[in-house]
Amino acid sequence: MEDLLQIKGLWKSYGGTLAVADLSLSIKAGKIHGLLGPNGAGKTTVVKCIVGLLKPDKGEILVNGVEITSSESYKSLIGYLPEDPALPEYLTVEEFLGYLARLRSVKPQEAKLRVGELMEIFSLTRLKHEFIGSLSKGLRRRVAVASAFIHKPKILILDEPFLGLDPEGQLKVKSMVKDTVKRGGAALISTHMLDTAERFCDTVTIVYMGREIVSGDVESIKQVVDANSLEEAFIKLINRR
Amino acid sequence: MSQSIQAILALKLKQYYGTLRISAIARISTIITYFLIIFSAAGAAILMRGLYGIAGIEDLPRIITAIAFMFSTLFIFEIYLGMKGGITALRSEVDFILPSPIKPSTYLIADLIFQLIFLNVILTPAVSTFMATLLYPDERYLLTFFIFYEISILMAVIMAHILGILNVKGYGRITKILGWTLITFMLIPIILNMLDMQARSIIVFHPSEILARLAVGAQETLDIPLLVICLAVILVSYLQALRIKIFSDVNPLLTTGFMEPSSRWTKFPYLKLDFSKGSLHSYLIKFHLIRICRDGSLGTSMLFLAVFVAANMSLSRIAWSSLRPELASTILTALYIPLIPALLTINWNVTERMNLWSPASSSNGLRSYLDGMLLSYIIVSTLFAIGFYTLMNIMIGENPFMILDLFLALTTSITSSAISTLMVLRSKKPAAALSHLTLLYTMIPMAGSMILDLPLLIIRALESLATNPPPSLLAFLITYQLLLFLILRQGILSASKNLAYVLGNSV
Repeated sequence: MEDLLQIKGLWKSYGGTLAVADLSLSIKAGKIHGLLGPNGAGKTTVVKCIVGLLKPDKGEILVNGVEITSSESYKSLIGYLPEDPALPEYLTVEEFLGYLARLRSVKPQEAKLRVGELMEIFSLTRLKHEFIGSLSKGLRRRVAVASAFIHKPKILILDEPFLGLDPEGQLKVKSMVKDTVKRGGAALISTHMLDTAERFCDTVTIVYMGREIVSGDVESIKQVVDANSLEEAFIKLINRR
Repeated sequence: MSQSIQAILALKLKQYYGTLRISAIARISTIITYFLIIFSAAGAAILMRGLYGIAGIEDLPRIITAIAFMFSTLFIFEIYLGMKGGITALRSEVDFILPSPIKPSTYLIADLIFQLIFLNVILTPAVSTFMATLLYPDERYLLTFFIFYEISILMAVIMAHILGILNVKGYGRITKILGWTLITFMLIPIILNMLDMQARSIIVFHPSEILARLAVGAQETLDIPLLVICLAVILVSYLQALRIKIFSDVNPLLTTGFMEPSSRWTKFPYLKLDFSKGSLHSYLIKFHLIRICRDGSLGTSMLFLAVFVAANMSLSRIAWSSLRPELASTILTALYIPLIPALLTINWNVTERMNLWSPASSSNGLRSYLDGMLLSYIIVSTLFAIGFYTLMNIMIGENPFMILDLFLALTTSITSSAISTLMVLRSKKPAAALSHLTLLYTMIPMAGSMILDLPLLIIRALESLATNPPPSLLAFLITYQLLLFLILRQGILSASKNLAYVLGNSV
C-alpha cells in the first residue's frame, strides 16, 4: 500500500528551544496513525508543519508522494482540525461550514449539499442559523470537527479530535475517520487519550521531548516493554528516558 | 495604595506593556509610533493655525472652542467605550483574579488607575505637542491646560467605569440610554458650531467648555463652582457604583477594542452569506463585507466619520479668516480616510486573526482571503471617503475640483487599504486593543498614503492645475495610481505564504 503521508528527519525549534528532533514517520493508505506524547512533546508542532502553518527547519514532508514546499495544492487533500480552533463568531453554523467548503475548493452547488449532510451527521441542523458566538464550547467543538470533513479529504490531520466532545460526538468522529480510511484515505491523530488511541489506531508513534521513542503497531509496542495496555507501555517508555 | 491594588495594577501593566520588556522590535516600533504621533500632532496644530487662521492665545475664543472640542471628543470616546464594557478585564483576569478573595472596589480602583496611566501614555505626548504648537508663543498656559486635561481624563474614565458597571450588572438598556444621552450632550458645542448657532446659555454650563475656559485662565464666575458640582456628582455616583458586586457578571471586555463582546454577534443577522453561488473571489469579498458589518467595525467607522465631519465643520466655522476652506476639506479627506482601513485592520486583529487557520490550511486560501480583504477594505473606505468628502463640501458650500477630489478619495482609499493589509502581514502578533501597536496600525497607513499620494496632493494644491487638469496629467495620475495599486497588491499576495508560517505560532 502507498504511503499517503511521509515525514523524513523533521527538525523544528523555536528560538533556542528544540521542539522536534529528527522525527520520521509514514502512514499508509487505509491506516489510522496515532501521534502520542506528553504535554510539550512536540505533537502540535509536527501537525502544524504538515498543514503548512510552520516551516520545518530541516527534513521533508511528503503528502501523497509530493513534497509540501513545492506547491500548496496538497492542502486540498488534507482535512485539518487544530487542537484549540478559534471560530469566526460572527458567522452562523451553516455559513461557517459553507465558508470552509468554499475555501477548500468544494464547488458551490456541492457545498450546499455537503454542508447539509455534515450538519445532519453532527446533529447541528437545528443550530444552522445560530451564530457560533452563541454556542457552547462543546457545540463549537462539534462544528470545528465537522469542518475537517467538509471536502471529503483523503488525509485527516486531527489534533486532539476527541477533546471536549461528548460520547456521541466522539463516536461520530470515529465513524467519520473510519469512513475516510475505508475509502483509501489515512488519518494522523495527535492525542493524549491513550485508551482511545489503543482501540482506535492501527499504528502509533510515541514522542518525548521532540524525539520519537517508539513507533509501530500497538500490540508490538506493548510487547516490547511487557505492558498490558498502551497507557502502561507509554508510562514505562517515558520513565526510561 | 493597598497591596492588592498594586498587585493587580502591576499585572495589568505587564499584560499591556509586557512585550516592550521582551521585544526590541516592539520597543523600536513604540519609539517610531511616538515620533509619528508627535509630528502628526504638531502638523495638525500647524494646519489649524494656517488653514483656520488661529494665531496663539490672542485668538482666545477659538482656542477655547478648540480645547472644548478636544475634551468633548475625549468624553465621547470614553463614554462609548464605557457602553461597550468600560472595565479592562482581560480573559486571564476573569479566570484568575476575579475568583480571588478581593473586593470589587479593589479591582475597580486598580483598573481606574490603570486606565488613567494608559490614557496618559497614549494621549498625553500628542495632546501636549498639539497644545504647545497651537498656543505658541504663549506656553505659560500649558501647565493650567495640563491640570484641567488630567481632570477631564479622570472624569471620562470614571464615567466609562460607571457605564461599564451598569452594563455588566444587566442594565444594558439604561446604559445605552444614559450613554447616548451623555454623548449627545457632549456633542452639543460641536453641533452648535457646525450649525453656526450661538447658544451661550448652553455653552456656559457645558463641562467641556468650562474645562477649556479654566485651562487657558479665562474662567467665568461660575466655572469653578460648576466644575466642583460636576466632579462631586460623578464621584458620588462612582462611590455608589463601587459597592456593586460585579465579579459574577464580568466578561472579558474591552479586549475587542471598539466592538461588542463576543456573545452579542447579532448585528445584521438579516445579511446572508450565500456560499452556494459565485466565484471564490466574489464570495470572499462578500464574506469580508459581512464580517465588517457584523463585528461592529462598520458602526464604529460610521461613528468616527460622524465625529470627524462634525469636528471639522465646527472648526471651519471657527475659521473666520480661513484662506482656502475647500483645500482644507481635501487635506482632511486624505488625512482621515486612512483611519477607516486602519480601524478595520485593528478590529480584524482582534476578531479574525486567530481564525486564519482555516484559510491558511487551504490550498491558496490565504492568497484569496487577503485579496478579498483588500478589495472589501477598498470598497468600504471609498464609500466612506465619498461620503465624507460630499458632507464636507455640502457644509462648506464649495465644490470646485470635483474630478481631482473624487480621484483623491478613491486613491487614498486604495493606498491606505493596501498599506493596512500589508501591516497585517508584517506583524507577528495580534495587537492588544488600544496598544502602541494599534497606534502604529493607525499612523503608518495615514503617513504612508499621504506620501504615496503626494503627486496627486501637490497637483490638487496648485489651483491653476487643479481647476482645469490637462488630459495628459490625468492620464499620468491614473497610470501612477494603477501601478501603485498593482505593486502593493502583488506585495500582499506574494507575502501570503509567509503569513501562514508567521501565523503558525498564534493560530
